[in-house]
Amino acid sequence: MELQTTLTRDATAKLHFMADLPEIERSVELPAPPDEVWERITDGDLAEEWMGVRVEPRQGGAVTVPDRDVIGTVEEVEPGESITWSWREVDGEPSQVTIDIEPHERGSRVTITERLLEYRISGMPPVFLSKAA
Amino acid sequence: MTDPQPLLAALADPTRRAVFERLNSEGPASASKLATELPISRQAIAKHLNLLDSVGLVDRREEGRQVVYSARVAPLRDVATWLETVGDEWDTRLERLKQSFD
Repeated sequence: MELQTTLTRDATAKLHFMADLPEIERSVELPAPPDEVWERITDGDLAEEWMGVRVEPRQGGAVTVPDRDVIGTVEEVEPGESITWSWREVDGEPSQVTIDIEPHERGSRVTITERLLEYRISGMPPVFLSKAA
Repeated sequence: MTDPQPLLAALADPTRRAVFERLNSEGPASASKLATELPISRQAIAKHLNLLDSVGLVDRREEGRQVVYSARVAPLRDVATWLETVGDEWDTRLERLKQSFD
């Protein structure tokens, strides 16, 4: 679903809400095979270098961000193909990240999706963004 | 206490979205006024307005015997800010990942 709403008097922002959840999607092509990309996501030191995040690549594994109060848990792992985790900064909004890797020409394509699961409108109880939440 | 409400599900319905967008682009209006402008019955509009009210997407104000509704975009603006911030973060990270293969 796509909603175009004037958010301020002079700016119009386009919000993309997929399946009722607001999400961002980013994609990049890399000159390396999926296995090599997978290593850069799941090897703690390598991952920290580009992502600033450490991920234990097993279901229930911890997701940590050095020097930040982030609580995260791995939800799904398909080795070499995809990983999904949920995380939240203390007092922040919970969101869910999925990283997909697929072979592309002589390298790979990595797609990141991060979707917002819930947030608070000031002065109101938490608002769940999806029916499923 | 309000129960947790599906904020964006409220806007998934095209008719309800039309009501919200009308209030946002043309300014405050009563249910009766909206019924003259949109191809929806007054009763249906009142239902949509109640739902939008329950998720904080409209403000209601009594003017004489009428209730006038206005759009409240703050909740959506917060979502837009989140999308922008998180998108920028991943742009930066993916750029670093790409450079790591150079």
